[in-house]
Amino acid sequence: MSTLRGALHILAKDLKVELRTREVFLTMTLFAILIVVIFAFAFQLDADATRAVAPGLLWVTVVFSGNLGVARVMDKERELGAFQGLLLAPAGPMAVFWGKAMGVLLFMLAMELLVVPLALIFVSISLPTSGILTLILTLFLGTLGFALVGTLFGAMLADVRMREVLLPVVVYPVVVPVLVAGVKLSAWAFDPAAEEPVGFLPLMAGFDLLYLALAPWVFGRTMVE
Amino acid sequence: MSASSPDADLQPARPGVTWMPYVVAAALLVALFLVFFVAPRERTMGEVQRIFYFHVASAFAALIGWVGCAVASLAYLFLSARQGMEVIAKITDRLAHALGEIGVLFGTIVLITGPLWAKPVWKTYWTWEPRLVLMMLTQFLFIGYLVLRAYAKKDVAGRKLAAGIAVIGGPAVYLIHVAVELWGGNHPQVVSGQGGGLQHPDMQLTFAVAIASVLLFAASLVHLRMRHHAFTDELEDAYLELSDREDARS
Repeated sequence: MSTLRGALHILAKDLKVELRTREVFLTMTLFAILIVVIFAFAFQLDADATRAVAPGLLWVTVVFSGNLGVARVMDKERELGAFQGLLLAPAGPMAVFWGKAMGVLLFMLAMELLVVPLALIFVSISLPTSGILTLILTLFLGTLGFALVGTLFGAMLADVRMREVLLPVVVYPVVVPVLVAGVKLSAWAFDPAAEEPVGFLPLMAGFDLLYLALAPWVFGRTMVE
Repeated sequence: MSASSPDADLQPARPGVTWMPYVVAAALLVALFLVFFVAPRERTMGEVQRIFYFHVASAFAALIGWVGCAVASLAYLFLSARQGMEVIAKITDRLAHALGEIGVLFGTIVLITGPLWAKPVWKTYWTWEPRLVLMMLTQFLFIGYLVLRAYAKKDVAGRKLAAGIAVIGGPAVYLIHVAVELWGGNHPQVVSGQGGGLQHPDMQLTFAVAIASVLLFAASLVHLRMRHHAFTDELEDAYLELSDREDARS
């Protein structure tokens, strides 16, 4: 039980710091809104183009700003060797992983709560009531998968030279299944009359389950001397 | 390495499997001969189909390299925490590194030969098709692995980080495969299906020999790279020891 308590302590610490600085949330949200605006300019969106582009736009926004968020959350622990201190705390390394992963997940979900409705308004695509649940479920499962892999790699690369380049290079290929499934399922959420994309929801759930088990194990093996 | 006498440091390098390069060269020459002089010309695709023999064989080598790298990295992460397993752990680490390098090398060959075939047959160098996407993304992932592993040098923590990337990447390769298959595409199913146009027995013989020779080539490269990494480690150790001795003398 002490792992969970330790994780919640770390999460509470990150939330407290965040409430005082609003650093991660602001960075992610502003960046996400900029992506949406640039996309809207770059693609000259009319009604047909919007339907084709919107699901991809949504997920590009999520993973790009998510990457930024992971980098910010980990950067804070780099100064003065705070990460080593956390890992040496009696709560154990698993508490650090889960605390950090929950933080990344919460920050990303908070960002999406604001940015997704904004994006839908900006590109003026309508979301049918029957698609809302699909979209929320898809966003949650996809964000969970991204947060697990992102937190792990973000922590692993926190002290590595060229981490700004390496983090996306290793994170994006791994999360491609989430991205593909997310785009397909969101497209269906926007247009529930279309044929249901089969197999993508199990793929996403399977991805999450696999990395729920594997990411903490790898964290324990690689981060602890 | 023992450091009892100065001469002990000047041992000649252990000879590797010196006959290996000749066998590999002979096998590749036989494969090339079969590809260009024995295998018949394919009816619809023409001469360009001959690139298949090495393209598919290289894809096998790349995938074996990547999956092997992930498995060896998993073993390394397991063994490095065990007492008395240091020697085996070091070997699995070098094996993973060598397999990762060879995976990226043959992945590059696949990504060059594929478009050369695709331009005349599919009328395009590149298309967003499942196998192509899988190949390219895995290539990125393991380039990331190699960069991290190159930074690590003698640093055990860095080596573990690279191994962690490979362990996470291994199952991801399978999931990417599932994802892009669900997405759909038109790549020839050379092995599982009847695509690629390998009906003639001479073609099948050529295909088998090409795969065997390329895999032999890949295996010999893994062997060479593992030796290289072992020597690099020894050299680093020797260098540290030397600087220690000089510090002690002064």
